[in-house]
Amino acid sequence: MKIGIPKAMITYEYPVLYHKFFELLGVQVVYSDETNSNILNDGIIYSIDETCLANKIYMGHVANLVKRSDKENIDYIFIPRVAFFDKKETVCVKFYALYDICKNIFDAHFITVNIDYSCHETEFKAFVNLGIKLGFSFSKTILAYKKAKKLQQEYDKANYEKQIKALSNKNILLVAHPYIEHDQYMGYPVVKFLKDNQFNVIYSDINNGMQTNNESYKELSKYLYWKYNKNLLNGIIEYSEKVDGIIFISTFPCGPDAMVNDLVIRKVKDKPILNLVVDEQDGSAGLYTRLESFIDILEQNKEEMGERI
Amino acid sequence: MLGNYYIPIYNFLNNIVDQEIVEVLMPNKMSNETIVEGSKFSPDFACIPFKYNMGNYLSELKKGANVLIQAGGGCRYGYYFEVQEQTLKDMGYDFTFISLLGENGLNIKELYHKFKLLNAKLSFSTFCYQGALAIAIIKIMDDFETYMRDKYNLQIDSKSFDTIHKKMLQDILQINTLAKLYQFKDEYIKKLKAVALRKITKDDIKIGIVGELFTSMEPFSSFYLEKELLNYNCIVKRYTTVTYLLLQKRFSRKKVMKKASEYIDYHFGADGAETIAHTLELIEEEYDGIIHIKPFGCSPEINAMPILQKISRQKNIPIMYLTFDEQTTATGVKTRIEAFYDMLKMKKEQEKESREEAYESY
Repeated sequence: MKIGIPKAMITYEYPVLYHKFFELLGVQVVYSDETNSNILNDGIIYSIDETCLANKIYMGHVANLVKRSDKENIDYIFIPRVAFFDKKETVCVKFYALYDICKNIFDAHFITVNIDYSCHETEFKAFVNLGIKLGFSFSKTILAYKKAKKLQQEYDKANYEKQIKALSNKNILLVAHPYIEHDQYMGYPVVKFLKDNQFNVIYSDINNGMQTNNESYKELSKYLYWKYNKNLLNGIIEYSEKVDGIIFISTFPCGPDAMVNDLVIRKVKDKPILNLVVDEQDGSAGLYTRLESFIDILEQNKEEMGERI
Repeated sequence: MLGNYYIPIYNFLNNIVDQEIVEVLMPNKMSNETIVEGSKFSPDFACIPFKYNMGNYLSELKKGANVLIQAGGGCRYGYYFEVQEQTLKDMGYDFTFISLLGENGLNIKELYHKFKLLNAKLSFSTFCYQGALAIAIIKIMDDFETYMRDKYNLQIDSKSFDTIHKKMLQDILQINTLAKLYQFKDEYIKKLKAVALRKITKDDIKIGIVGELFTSMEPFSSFYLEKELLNYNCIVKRYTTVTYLLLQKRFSRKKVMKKASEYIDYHFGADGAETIAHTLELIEEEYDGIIHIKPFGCSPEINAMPILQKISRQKNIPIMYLTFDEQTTATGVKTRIEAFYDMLKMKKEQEKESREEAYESY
């Protein structure tokens, strides 16, 4: 059996869990290609104009898998449906509907996991149901899920330790969802530019709150209920002392980020902040100009600090 | 401020606060200024209700208000409170912000303590009684307005509903007990039923409105879409009312999912799945066209749109999608409504002709 996973959005939140779960069950996993102009164009075609860029790119990745599925014998395309993790912990409503939208737009076989506390569907239950649906035994699925979950945690921990070790004297905190940061089209140009300029990039989604139920985000926003944004705020709290500046990247028009980033930018006052919004209009000159001037500000700040000492 | 709902809420607050020390301000009518001012101080991609709320708050703060109230709900609405509070405080206003939702959702006890700030003598029972009264008034207003909307273009004397409605909005302000309310209800039901109506004919064009709640319920934000349609002598139906949101929605979820199960398996958040179910229902009831409305960037409704497009293709029903933001103009909306109406009318006539032709050849 062969399963295709679109390499966008939610996949970046759990890269190991999905991959290992299928692999441990003996299912072959293929990913869609890295985001390229074809994927972007397909995504735009298959989406409503007002959808956020990340969602458009997701649709492009699904289209990419659908196109390849005949040639490469892909049996199913895996699109998780994620809604509630807890009574008050949810995600952007875009994730609620990905599966249903793809099902209606594309002519292919889709499978899903439904994580929804409001219907008493926990992550564990959802994955067990998925395994059984694919024809594996109950015990085998449980083992696969448990092992995959553990590997995901180990992966997160290793990533975190690596990031802490890499802290240098020139750090920039990047606040963006992992599917933006690591995407070839959206976040990569920014990351590459910073690295070329000898800045160490710190990702706010990799922080010590990933394992435990960290609630330090409440310092910035008491009523926040989006899970992935909570994680980003935890990162800001943890790293903001150690970095020279903060860069926010959000996609146009991201719902949660529009509100949360606005609030956070109002509250974090002691660091230079750059707020970038990416959309599907190509044109990197504007982006680089803004990044360059931001870096100049940071360098200047550093010099002034040095003189004072 | 949302449609005419400010009346029961104004009433409710007046009944529970200590009127000697607290004055309840009647909100200004929505105007162009509301949205212009509101969007100046809102995040760029915040949805349009946020910006209207902001505009309302700003105009009240300028009038001297120092206690503001915000409700809350699904999707992004539950988060408005925090962003708005911070923004307004950053602008230098000093006020107390009461959110109807607490950290863990709606809690009547917690809410009671919040309102106690406005009236030290407020007892829990009065608070609950007045709350129930306000909801009962909203329910009656909704029933009244729904009946009126459904039958508006069926009345023989075109002014009769409007006069009763105007009178009702004045009278409803005087109500402060449930007993009075029921008397009021009976009286107005009688008045409504007394209005002479004609029957629906096959030639009437029926249009259903589905979509996001704020733009459905606040006529200003949709540039008086309903009024515009009623002027074209259409029969208009709309689902979303506050009664529906407060009392019926959570019990109808199963029914909604069953109705929409032909197209979707899971719920979409906010009103996404409801939009689809209502659309299917309108098609079953042989409506001629459907208008889907939403503010710019409304994710649940954007989720529903690809499915609506598919339904529109498969069931051969025209659906018009309207998006409202601070840059939408009344003329643009008017033109589109006019074009949509003309198209429905032509479609209807064509269908009639082809039916007659088929009949003749038979």
